[in-house]
Amino acid sequence: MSFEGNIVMNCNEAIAWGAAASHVDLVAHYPGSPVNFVEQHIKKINERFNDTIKFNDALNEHVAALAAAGASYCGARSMVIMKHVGLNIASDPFNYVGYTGVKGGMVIIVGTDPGANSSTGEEDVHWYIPQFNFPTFEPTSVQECYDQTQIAYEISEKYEIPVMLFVPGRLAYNYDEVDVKLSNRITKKFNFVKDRDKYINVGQRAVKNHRALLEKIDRISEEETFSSLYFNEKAPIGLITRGLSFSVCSELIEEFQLQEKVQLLNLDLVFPIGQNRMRDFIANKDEIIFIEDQDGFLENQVKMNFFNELKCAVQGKNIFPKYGEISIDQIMEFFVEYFNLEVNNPKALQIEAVPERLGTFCEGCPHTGSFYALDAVLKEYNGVIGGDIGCSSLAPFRADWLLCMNAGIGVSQGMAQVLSDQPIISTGGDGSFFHAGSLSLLSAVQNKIDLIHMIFDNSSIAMTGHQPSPSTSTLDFRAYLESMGVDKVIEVSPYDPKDFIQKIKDELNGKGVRVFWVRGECVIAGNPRIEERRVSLYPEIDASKCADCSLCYKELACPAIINLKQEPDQELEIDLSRCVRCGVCHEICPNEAITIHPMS
Amino acid sequence: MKAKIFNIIVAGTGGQGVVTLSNLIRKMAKDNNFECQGSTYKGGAQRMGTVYSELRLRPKTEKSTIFSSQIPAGKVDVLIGLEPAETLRFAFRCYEGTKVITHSIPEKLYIERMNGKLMQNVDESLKTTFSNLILEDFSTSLDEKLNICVLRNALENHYLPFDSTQLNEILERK
Repeated sequence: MSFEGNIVMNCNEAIAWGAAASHVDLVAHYPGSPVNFVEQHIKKINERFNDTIKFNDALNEHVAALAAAGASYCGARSMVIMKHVGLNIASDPFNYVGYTGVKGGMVIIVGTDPGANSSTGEEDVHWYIPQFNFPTFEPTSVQECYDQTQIAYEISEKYEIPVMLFVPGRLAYNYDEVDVKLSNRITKKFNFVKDRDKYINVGQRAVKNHRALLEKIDRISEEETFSSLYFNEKAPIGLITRGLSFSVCSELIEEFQLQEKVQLLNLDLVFPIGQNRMRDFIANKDEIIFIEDQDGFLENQVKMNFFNELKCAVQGKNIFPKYGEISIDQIMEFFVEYFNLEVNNPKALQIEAVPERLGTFCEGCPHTGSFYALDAVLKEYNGVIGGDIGCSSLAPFRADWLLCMNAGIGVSQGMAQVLSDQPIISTGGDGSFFHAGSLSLLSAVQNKIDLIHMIFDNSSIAMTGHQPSPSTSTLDFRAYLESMGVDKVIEVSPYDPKDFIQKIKDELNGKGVRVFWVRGECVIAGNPRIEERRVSLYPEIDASKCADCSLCYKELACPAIINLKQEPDQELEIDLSRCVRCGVCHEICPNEAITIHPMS
Repeated sequence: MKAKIFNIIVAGTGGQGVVTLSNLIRKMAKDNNFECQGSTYKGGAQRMGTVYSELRLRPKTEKSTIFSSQIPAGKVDVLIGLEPAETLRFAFRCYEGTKVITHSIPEKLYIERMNGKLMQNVDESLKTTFSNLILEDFSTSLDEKLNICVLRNALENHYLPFDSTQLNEILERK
């Protein structure tokens, strides 16, 4: 499988190449943007070079973390991939895998999201690092994503400890040329060596292993550096960066010709901080300034670990905000003010803000019909629609909240126990259901809560690239639900809104745990039947019959139905390039104005 | 003193080919010995959402230094739009000398049907905002996709530091 080349790629791909170059043995993951394509690229490389990497498309991050730890315990190299909020789910095992240590290298890839471009929040997961006590790298470029993945395996095996790599969204989708090199894999056999002192953590044994972990971190801090110094070592002003702020500072220092005025220290290994270099750096500075995103992890670590030695002034989060993505404009503004620079940047144009394009369901998406049916019944009662995470949360204002995985049935069952008259129906996709929702449903059964829950089964984890869910396989979903003790399983089609609405009405005042199994596969998953339908059927709106009721346009809100006139005027038409001929608009039209004919 | 960084924003909506167009520019940059940085943003929307990418090009030199993938406000040299309202959205990153080329046919805002907000007179706003503007319906070409057509026109109008003949070469290589 040997290969050498220079390829333009993004960081998802660079990490994948880094994993392949490290001869990773097992990849476990739960997909999440911005690192949802790492595992897919490893699979492609594995196929291309006929490699022997094993994969675990885990049902949640907790399982993925434990599976990767298991492989590493046996001496295999493992990788586990998740987004920042996934780290919350995996945090239970990660709190203790440091106690056991690992044998084969274990590398944890975490996609972070300052600016919340692809998440429900911009949680700063740096605060987990000192809790897990895992060495953590933050690459500054695409090439470093490739390089540091390999270095992470070396450190992991040298110190028998999992190593994390944090990759923010801006870097994850950044492209650059990367020099890659794969060598031939040497086939190894793995075995688990029993060591109960190490693997059974309880009581004093846990305390002993905790102490050993902390000593290991001290050793790494003493022995390893993984940081770089730039510009004038005698300068009284020191800038400290990590991740993406390094490239911004580097560019601006050159642009403003500040090379003589500052020294810059960029930390690749952000935990533990290489103490010797940091000690030397802070010793000869009048002032140090931390330029980093989110809550100011480095600033906090340095203040905490070097408080006796910090004789200089310290700035950081008193200048830069803790929220949003740290921008080149913010850092430029700081440089201009701090160094009293005169710059003649061209003036940016001023315009009135263009309205944000919020998410939609795709044309023909099964969720469109489902939420139409829910609204149609619940609206008149001010009924509550419990929202989850995933494609079903894409269209705004359909569900009543968007919080986290499993928040649909999770929050709803608490509400169902206390609400007086307001009806409530919880929702969630099959991905979310198998991630953690199934346990919440079981909990509702055990607690005998009167509840309606809808599982939107589109046969895949559609949001992040159609990774398989158990409903894609041969799982007998009805039997599975019934075996959990669900009182009633009601199978419905999202493409038959009249039947769907009737069935909701029938259950609204019922008792027990009732599950609507809403079956409709994702329309963009590549099923050839959808393309056949598109070329064989022709839908149209008969303007003479249309009474401008807006049911299809505003209530169903299918993106393929468009208004040819400017609001508030209305002349509706079906955009044939978008329409997938699902027929729901035809089903709901009260005036029989929408027809679907065979293509002549 | 390093060479000036050439800054490009490519803007459009989901499915219009912003990513493909950006990757073609990256390939031309590599062929022409430019360093290239820049990210693509897709947001949370699967359909009809804003998609844009930032591309920053700098001639390769022997001693390469790192530069950011972020374009400072007011420093966009070329703005390539596949949708007029999306082109307008990035005006705040441009300056009066920014060269702008954009497809003129709007993709309706999905949100408009929910709350009545609507972008009106986008053409007019584009014309009053940008001094160097090519605003055309590029979808009339039967031979090539919208994104390729807009890129070809940008090259033919010397908006990018590449020869327009290189596009065919790269498309054939693909």
